Amino acid sequence: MSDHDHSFRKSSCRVGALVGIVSLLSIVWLVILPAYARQPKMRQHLRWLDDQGIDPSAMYYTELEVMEDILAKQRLAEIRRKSP
Amino acid sequence: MNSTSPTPDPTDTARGDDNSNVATPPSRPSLWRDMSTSEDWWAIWCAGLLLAISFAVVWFGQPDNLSELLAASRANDDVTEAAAETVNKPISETPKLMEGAGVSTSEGTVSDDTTETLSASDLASETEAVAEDAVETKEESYEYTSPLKPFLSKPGKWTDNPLDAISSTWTGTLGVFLVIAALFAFANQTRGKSASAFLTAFPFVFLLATLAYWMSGQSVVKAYNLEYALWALLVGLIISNTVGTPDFLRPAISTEFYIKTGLVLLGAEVLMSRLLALGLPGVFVAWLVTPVVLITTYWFGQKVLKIQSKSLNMVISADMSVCGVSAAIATAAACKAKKEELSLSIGLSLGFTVIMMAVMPAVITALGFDPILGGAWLGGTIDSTGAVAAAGAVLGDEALEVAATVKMIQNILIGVTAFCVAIYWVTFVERDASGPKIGISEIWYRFPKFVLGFVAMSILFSFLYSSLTNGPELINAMIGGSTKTLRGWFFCLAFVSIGLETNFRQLLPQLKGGKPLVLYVCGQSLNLILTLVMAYLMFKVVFADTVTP
Repeated sequence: MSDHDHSFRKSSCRVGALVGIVSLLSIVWLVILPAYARQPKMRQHLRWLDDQGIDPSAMYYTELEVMEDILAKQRLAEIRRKSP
Repeated sequence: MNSTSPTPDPTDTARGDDNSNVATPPSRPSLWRDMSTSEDWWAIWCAGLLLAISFAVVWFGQPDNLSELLAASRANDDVTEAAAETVNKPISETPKLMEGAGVSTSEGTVSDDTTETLSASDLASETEAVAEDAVETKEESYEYTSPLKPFLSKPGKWTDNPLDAISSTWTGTLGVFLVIAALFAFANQTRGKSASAFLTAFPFVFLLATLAYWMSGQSVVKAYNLEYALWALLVGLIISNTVGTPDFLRPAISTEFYIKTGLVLLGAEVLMSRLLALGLPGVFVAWLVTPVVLITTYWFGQKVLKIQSKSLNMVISADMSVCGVSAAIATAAACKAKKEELSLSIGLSLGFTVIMMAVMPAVITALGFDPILGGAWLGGTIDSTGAVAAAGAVLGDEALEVAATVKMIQNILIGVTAFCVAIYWVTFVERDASGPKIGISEIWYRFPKFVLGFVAMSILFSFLYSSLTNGPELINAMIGGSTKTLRGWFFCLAFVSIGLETNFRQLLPQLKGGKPLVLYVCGQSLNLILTLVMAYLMFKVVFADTVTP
């Protein structure tokens, strides 16, 4: 087998791997995860998180909606303490 | 991270008069040249410019009557709160509650006189109707938002339809793209790199970051605390380990520059006034246990497990003891850790967070802890901020409030951690143990300057928050409307860049012997024990009478 053929096979394998992984991820994100989200138990859990204003993937407190409510409540209490 | 760390020169010493060896730096670029070309300084300039513009827009865009609007909104909140309590209180208590809140009925303000003239049932229906009206008007509460908010955003949450993520946010995403492209093209050009090469590559890197955000926006993925950093890393890794990262993308792969700029922006979110949100008990739980666990875990990794890479040891220790991914990013940058080390630490943290988020509320319930103790334990131990809130909410509102507040206080520790780690690194770790002491100028030369920007922004915005009229509202509007979004994009771009530069084979040696895993498990076990003891002492013994969430 020539170097050219070997190189061509290698790059074909790489492109094939990329296509394979992308296809797999597409199935997971476009089919499996939406289907799982539709399960009654999961749907209930997601609705509960929404109602609570919680994003479990928040990295920092400023990304957390519920924290705004907590801080607003604490600030209101502080203002009341300063000027009852 | 490690790419710009200056290495000590063993010949670079001079003998002082006191016979102690003190290193003197060789000829180095002048401060002005350093400030105009180095990545650290440019991260400060870029983030400083973004913060200045964001604050100016909020400051000059505020309505003339902002104070009145906020006062009216607070009064409305008072009424709503009292009304909400009224709906749930026995009828006999309602007049006092409503009077306290200054609620007016159609008959006038509720007073002792009116209660005398109304029958009990009339009063009950009247107050209930007013209460419900007041609760409904809650939506009218005034909140000041940055005028920039519609123009800066990221792909949102979606469940079934993938297009939901971008249908309402594409203009904001485009806005972020234009801002970062223009700013970094200018920075690259000024630093002697090619702006056109950057602008050719950046759209593709940004597109990958958008894809990572889109993947992390799926509701189920979010519910399991799988943050965008993980998907950004994955997207980059897939490309670099299959077809390989094309050379034309390299000018836009600037991991350190993105991270440092994002961290300086994060400095504005580290508001010191939040420190006392839970009073002394919160400070003890979050600020006493955390450094003890961090230092002990680092020591354990070095002396017992003998982990070869000190930076890996430090990043895992900080990630586990402080607050997960954000602490890992800050510490990794401060101690110049390798990209693979940061990736590994984040992977470990996210994996354990998913488990702890599910298991800890069940354990707390089984052990019969009250919500305040349980919340404090959750807040001090689970790494990720969002996961803390999710676990706290399972135990109820009280636990959620305490857990989220303890975590927030820990979040603020990031600045101090990054600063202390940077000082420790340049003073002790990078120094040759058998060599001479290093001088102040050497410490200054080696010190990662962006950490100064990070700390400076924290101090500046903490001061503005506390001292300006309506400071909290203005700073919150600035963070929520622009800088938080931009910071997230910088971190996301950084993780895409890490993925694009990393080969899977580089990750494997880091897992050698499972030492990082053992370090994490041992450190987290210590964290669990110490935090529980401290939370019990603070919330149930020492300050038991004063703690009210």
